[in-house]
Amino acid sequence: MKKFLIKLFIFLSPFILVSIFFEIYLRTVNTHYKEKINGLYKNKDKVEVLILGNSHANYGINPAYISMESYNMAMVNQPLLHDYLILEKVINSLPNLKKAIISIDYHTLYFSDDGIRNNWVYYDYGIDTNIEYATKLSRFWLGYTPKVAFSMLKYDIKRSIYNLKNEKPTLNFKAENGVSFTDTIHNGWLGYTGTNPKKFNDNVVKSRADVFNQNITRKDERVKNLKVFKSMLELLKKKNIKTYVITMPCHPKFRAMIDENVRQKDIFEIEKIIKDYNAVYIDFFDNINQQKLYYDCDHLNKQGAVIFSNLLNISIQ
Amino acid sequence: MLFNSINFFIFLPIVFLLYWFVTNKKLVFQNGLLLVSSFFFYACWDWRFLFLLMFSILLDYITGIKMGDAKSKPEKKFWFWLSIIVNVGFLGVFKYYNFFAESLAESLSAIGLQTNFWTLKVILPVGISFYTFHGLSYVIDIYYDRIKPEKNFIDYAVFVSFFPLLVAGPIERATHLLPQIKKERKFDYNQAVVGLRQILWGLFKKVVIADSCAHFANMFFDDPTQYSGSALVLGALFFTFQIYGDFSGYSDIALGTAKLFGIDLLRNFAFPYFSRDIAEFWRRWHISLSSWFKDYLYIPLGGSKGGLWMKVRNTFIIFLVSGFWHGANWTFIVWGLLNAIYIMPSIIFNTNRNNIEIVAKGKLFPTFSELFSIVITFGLTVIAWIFFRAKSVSDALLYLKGIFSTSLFKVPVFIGRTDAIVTIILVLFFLVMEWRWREQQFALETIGINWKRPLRWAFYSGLICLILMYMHTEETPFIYFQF
Repeated sequence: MKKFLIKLFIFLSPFILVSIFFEIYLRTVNTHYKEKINGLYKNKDKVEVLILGNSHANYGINPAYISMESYNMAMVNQPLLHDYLILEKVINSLPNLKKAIISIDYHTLYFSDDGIRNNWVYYDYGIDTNIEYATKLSRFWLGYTPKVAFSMLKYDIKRSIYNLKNEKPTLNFKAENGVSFTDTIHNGWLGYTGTNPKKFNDNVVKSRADVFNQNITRKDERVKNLKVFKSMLELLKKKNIKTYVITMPCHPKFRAMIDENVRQKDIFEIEKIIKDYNAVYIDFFDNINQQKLYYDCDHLNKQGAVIFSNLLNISIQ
Repeated sequence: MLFNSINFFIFLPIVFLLYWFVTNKKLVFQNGLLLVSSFFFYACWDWRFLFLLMFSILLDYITGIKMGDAKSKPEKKFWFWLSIIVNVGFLGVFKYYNFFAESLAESLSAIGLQTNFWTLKVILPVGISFYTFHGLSYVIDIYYDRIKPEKNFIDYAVFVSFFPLLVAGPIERATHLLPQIKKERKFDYNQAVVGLRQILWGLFKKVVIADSCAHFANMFFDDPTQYSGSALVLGALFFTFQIYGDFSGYSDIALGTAKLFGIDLLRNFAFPYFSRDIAEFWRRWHISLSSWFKDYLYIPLGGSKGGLWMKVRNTFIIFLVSGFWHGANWTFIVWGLLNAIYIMPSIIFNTNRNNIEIVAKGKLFPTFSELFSIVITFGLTVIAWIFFRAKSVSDALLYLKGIFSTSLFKVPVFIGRTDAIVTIILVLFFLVMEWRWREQQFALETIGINWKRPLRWAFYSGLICLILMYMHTEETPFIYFQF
C-alpha cells in the first residue's frame, strides 16, 4: 500500500504542480471581463451612458462616437440576468449616470446562459448566479476548464514573445477570434476587424440563424427574462435614468432566416412594458445592410460600429 | 455524482483511504463503509430515491430469507412472486407506465376514441433497471436453489448497491460478487495498478471519444433534413463510437474502481466492434445484460431445447425485451427487433457459436474474409444504432431516407469540419489501440508494462492531458444512466 501511494504521488505530482500553477495563474491573469469592470470603476465619476447587452452591442457600439461619456459593459453571450446583476452592482457607483442602453435582440428574451460564463462573471465581476462551491474554488478544473486555461496561457506566451520583438502595444487579455491582437480597448469597447467572407456563406448563416431560431422555442425563458427586464426598468426608473431599449442591426441574409412574427410579437411586448417606465424602444434591426460593415452575419465590425454608434447617438439625444 | 466529475475524484480517494487505513481491521467495518459511501454516492443524484433503493434491498433481503426458511413449496412460491411482482411493479410504474398510457391513448384515438390517461410526472430513478435486475437474479437463484439466502444484511446491501456498479452496471450475480464481499480483502498492488489503468482508459473513452463524437452525433440527429447522405453516415458513425465510448468507458471506470477496493466485477465489453457476426457482437456487448437475459429469460423459456421454432421464438423474445429494457420508446423495440432479425441466419443455420475466440488471435491483421465479416457486422450495427439514437421511429426512418439519397456521394458539408477531422483521428487512434490489445481485458491493461518507466508514465500522462483538454465545464452524463 505504501509503495502504491508513493508511486501514485510521484506520478501525479506534475499534475498537482500544474494544477497549483494554473490556480494561481487564473487568479492573476487579466481577462476581458476584468478589463471591462476595472475600466468602468476607473471612469465611474464620468460615465453618463451605460451600455448593456450581448455580443451584438459589445462589438457594435463604440462609446467614442456617443457624445456623452459612455461605457460599454455588454459582453459576448451576456444574458439579461447578467445585465441586470451588473447594473444592480454598479449603479450606485456611477453618480453621473443619466442614460442606459439595453440591447434586446431577436433571441435575448429566450436566452439565459448557464454555462462557463456564469463562472467568469463570478470571478471577475463578483456576481454570484449560484454557481457550485467547487467551481468557486477551482478555476483550473471547473471554472475555466484545462482547455480554456491552456489557451489563455498560450495567448500570454505568444503576446510576451511578440512584445519582446515589437514595440506596438498588444491586448493584455485573450479576446475572441476576429479581434486584432494589437488593438486597444476603449471605454469597454473592442471591435471586430474587417469582414470574414466565410461567415456569409449560406450554410454558415443558416446554421447561425438556426441557433437563434432554436432559442426562441424556450417559452419558459421568455417569462423569466421579461421579469428580469421589468426589474431592470424598475431599478433605472427609481434612479431617474432614461432607458433606451434597442435592437442591434443584423445583415439582410441573417434577417431573412429568422422568424419575423416572433420578433414583432416580442417588440409588441417590450413596447407594452416600457410604457410604465422612463424608457424608449428603437428598432435598428434592418438599419445597416452592407456586408463590408459586418464581421459576420449578426455582428458589426469596427467600421460598422462607427456608423451605428453615430446613428445611435442621434437617436438618444 | 458522475464518474467524470470532480466530485467523484474527491469522493474516491477519501473512501479509498478510509477503506484501507481506517476500516481495514475488520471486514464488517469495510463493508459498512462501502454501504454508507454507496448510499451517499446514490443520494448525490436525488436523496429521495435512496428510499426506493433501500426498500428494494430490504424487500429482496427479507423475501430471500423467507424463501430459505419456507417449509413448503407454496410458501416459497408466495415470497418469490411477492418479490418479483413488487420489483417488476416498481420498474413498470417508474419506467413504463407513461409509455403504456400514452401508447394506449394514441391507439384509441386512432379508432376515434379520445381518452386522457393520467400520466406520472416523475423522473426515472437513476439505475433502477440495474439494481432491480440485481435483486431479481438474487431471488430467482434462491428460488431455484442455486444459492443460499444471504443472512448478513450489510453484505447483501453492498452486493446490490456497491457504488461502482450501482447506476449502470455491470449487472452482477450473487454467485460472483457475494463471495468476494464476504471474504477478507487484502490490498493487492498489482490489482490496484490495473484498476487505475482501467479507470484511465475508461475516462479516455468517455471524455475524449464519446463526448467529442456526441457533439457531432447530436448535430446530425437533431435535424437530419439539413445534411447530405454522406454527412448523415458520418453522424451515425459518430453515434456508434459515442455509445461504445460512453458505456464501455463507464464499465471500465466501474471495474477499475472496484479493483481499488479488491473486488473484481464481471466484464461488460470485449471489443464488440471487432465481431464477425451479430451473435458474436452480442457476446461482446453489454455482456452482463446479455448473459442475464440468457440465464433468466432465454433458458427458462426453453432455450434451444425445443427445436428450431422455439429457438427462433425465444430469440425474438429476448431481443424485444432487451430493447424494451433500454427504454420506454418504440425506437428501442425496433432496435431490439432489428438485432433479432440480424441474428436469425446464425440461429437458423446453427452458426451462432462459430466465432467464440477474438478475431485473428495471435496475429497482427485479420484475413480478408474476417475483415469483410467485421465490416458487414459493423455496418448492420450502425444501422440499428440509428433507431436507438433517434427520438422516434419516424425520425429514424427520415434519417435513413436521408442517408440513402443521391447526396450520399457528396462531400459532407457542416459546421466544425476541422473539429470533426480531429475527432476522426482520435477515433482511429482509439481503434488502433483497441485492435492491437484486443486479446487483453481492456486495451490499456498491459500497454507499456515492458517499457521503461519514464516512457510508460509519459504515455499515461499524454492520455491524462488529452482527457484534461477535452473536459467540459458542464457535466456530461453517461447515456446508460437513463436506462
